[in-house]
Amino acid sequence: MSEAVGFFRPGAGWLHRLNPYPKLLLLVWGVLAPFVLPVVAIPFLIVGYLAAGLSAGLGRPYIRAALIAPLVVVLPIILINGFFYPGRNEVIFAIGPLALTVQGLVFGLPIAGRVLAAFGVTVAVVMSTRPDDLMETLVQRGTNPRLAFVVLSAIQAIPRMLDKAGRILEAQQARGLPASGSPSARVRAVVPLLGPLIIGSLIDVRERSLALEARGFSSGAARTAYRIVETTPRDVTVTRLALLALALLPIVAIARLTGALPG
Amino acid sequence: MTGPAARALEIEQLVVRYYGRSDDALHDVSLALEPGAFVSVAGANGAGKSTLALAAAGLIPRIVRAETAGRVVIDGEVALDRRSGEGVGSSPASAGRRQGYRAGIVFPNPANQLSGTKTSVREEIAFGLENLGVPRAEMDARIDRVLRDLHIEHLADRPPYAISGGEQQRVAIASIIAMDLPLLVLDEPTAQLDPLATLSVADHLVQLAGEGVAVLAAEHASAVLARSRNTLVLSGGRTVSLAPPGTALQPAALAGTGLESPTLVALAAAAGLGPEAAFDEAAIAAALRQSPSANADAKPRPVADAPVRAWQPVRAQPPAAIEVRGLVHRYPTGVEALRGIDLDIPPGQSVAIVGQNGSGKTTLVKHLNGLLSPTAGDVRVGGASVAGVPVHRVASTVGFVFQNPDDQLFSRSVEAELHFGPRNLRLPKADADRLVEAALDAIGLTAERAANPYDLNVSARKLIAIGSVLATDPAVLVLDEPTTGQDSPGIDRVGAIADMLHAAGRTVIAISHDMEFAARHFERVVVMRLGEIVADGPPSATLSGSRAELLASTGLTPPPAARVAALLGLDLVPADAAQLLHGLGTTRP
Repeated sequence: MSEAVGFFRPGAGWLHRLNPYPKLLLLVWGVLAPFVLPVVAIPFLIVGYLAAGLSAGLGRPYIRAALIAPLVVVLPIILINGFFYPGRNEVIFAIGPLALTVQGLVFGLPIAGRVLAAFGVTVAVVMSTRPDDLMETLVQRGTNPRLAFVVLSAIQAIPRMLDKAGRILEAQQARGLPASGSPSARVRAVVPLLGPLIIGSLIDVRERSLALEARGFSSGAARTAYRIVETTPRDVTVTRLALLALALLPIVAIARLTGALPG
Repeated sequence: MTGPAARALEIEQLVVRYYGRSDDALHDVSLALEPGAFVSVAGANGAGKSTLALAAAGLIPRIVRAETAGRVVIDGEVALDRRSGEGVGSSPASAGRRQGYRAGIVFPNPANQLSGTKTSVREEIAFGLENLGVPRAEMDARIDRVLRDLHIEHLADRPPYAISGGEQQRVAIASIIAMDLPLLVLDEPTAQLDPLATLSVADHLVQLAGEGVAVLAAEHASAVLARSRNTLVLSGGRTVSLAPPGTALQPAALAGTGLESPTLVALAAAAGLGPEAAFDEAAIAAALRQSPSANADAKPRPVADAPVRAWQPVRAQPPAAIEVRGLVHRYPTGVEALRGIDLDIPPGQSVAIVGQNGSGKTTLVKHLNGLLSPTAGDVRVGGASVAGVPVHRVASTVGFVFQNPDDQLFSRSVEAELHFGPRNLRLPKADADRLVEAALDAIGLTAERAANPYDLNVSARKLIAIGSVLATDPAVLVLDEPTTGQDSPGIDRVGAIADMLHAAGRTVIAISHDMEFAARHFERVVVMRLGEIVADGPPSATLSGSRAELLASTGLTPPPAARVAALLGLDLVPADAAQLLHGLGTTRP
């Protein structure tokens, strides 16, 4: 295995070697923790996720996916709150009628940080986990094989859809469609790009469902597994720690709600 | 035991009508396959081949809903039982609730046959075995066997989504074969394969039949038809004949079906050979050598059978020479798809680019309109470098038709789809209208101008995609695998369009696996292998029998008539039977 598949990037770092089950538990913890722990913990979480991703050898693609790609979501959160936070606020600077306020940033930055932290852990897990290992692990843990396949297939459909969108963009540009430039050009490009994507995806769904049927997907036989996902003593330890960390989250949440824990 | 229960497939008086259609897709078709039988299905597009394949695999009406009548039994299990006396019904009440996976089916589109969840070809092949509950201990042996039999051992550890379409198709075929089912149904399995890969698949089907598997293959490829024991010819959903391919595919037997007789069969008939020798190249050559009188009246086949008017250019396109210098392209995965290509194409030339799956053909032509940027080297069109020029601007000069029409069609009517390109190029309305009319005429869909493209079959949609680029009146037309999935009238139509544009002084470049198409419609053939050009010249120099070894090194074979010509010691590359017979007539004293 030397080539990327979907979002997965091959590697041999510690995160790649970790069993998908504890990774899944860590993912759940990592997504919930920024929203449960006090604000002061958020920078530590972000730095921690980045350090984990880099120490696991995920490299520059990880930084791009975990830090730069989420800016599309994070920056609007900061700007909208920064400029439009309601009430009389302390202005940092103003551009015409728009004023960036301290209160807006104080409200917006933690939300943006939480989203960024959730992205960081999700990307690290997705990039280091083979999709089929994840599926096998879920099945070994008692998940219905069909359900596991559907979930995994949905995840894998995202890169497939992006790939298809890229081909459609190429095909329409080759027929003279300007897909960049003025806002009006971009609006005109929407239908020629989305039309084939939607229709083609419907055709794909039909063909794929027939092909799955041909591969015995609904045979009803007791499914066997070709790929064996091993569980090492280290995986067991990490699983226990992750379960413990998950169990602590509700306690922290209650402590914050009752005022026992500030922030 | 030879009774019905022993049959791998038994179809009796099958009628299938899709909802919303007023005509039957299949009408009163009967067919029986014993274990070890190998039956091919021939027919023009729309003849009912795919519907028969779906029914034979037990997918109609269980998965694909349709009104049905008749009876389908797969390896003793009833998949459909609505005798004609009970009328056509839509409920699969008496159909087998779930087939015990007695039939496997391979579809034409490779990408949609992959599970989408596996990260290596080996695991992809294992997917079906896992679903059938095959013990883990048996899997490796089965997987190794199909990898070896289909000559794809080198792909075993590659991700299925990172290999070429032709390679994916062989993986899809291997995935079904590995399931070891008593009935194997294939719907145009070799549409995307190069000629040698097609031969390899055809040979493997023979081997499987020899091992007792019943094989039903709907195909256009004569290599597959030739190796089957019987051929069922369908036309308009009805059975025309069921006989050995040498008989069923005779020119006289195909009259009215829209199909053309395969070149070798036509040659054998002209040489006076019986059906049993219809695909035997040596016997055909020997017979032709001994009966020169058979060729005396032979006339060369017209260049195009499809009635296409001359192209009247509307746009004053300046001559656009193509110059490719030291072109290297390396994909982000590290795969070096092009390794220093030098290529000059003068304005107005027609060029076929051929080579095995994954040889770099599509990568090369994607540089001509800037869809890909060179890793090293330069590409110039009309004297100007393409590098850095937006693709939509290059489109004014270089029209590019992609292989899959569904990646571009979106309009509500054929006519509106054809207006898309001219509108993007901001052509004056009068010019656009003229071009659209001419393009509709060229693709033969003037009568269907108001139809929704998605109400037409994929063959027509491919023609619409060609027409939509033709309507921009490009100086250079690039066609990526335009004949894939087309029947003989469709191939003739595409060839006629290429000839028409070439005659109008435009440059036409086509990627193709169809050597007859390349030899017949193009004045120059560029042969690629592993990212390099290994032969370049007129068909007579590149596709002759004497180049068979070189062509084989990149998955190709000379056209069938050229192979027979080589056996006759003739220095000819005839594209079809008529050209060979004419050549024979003119070269003999």
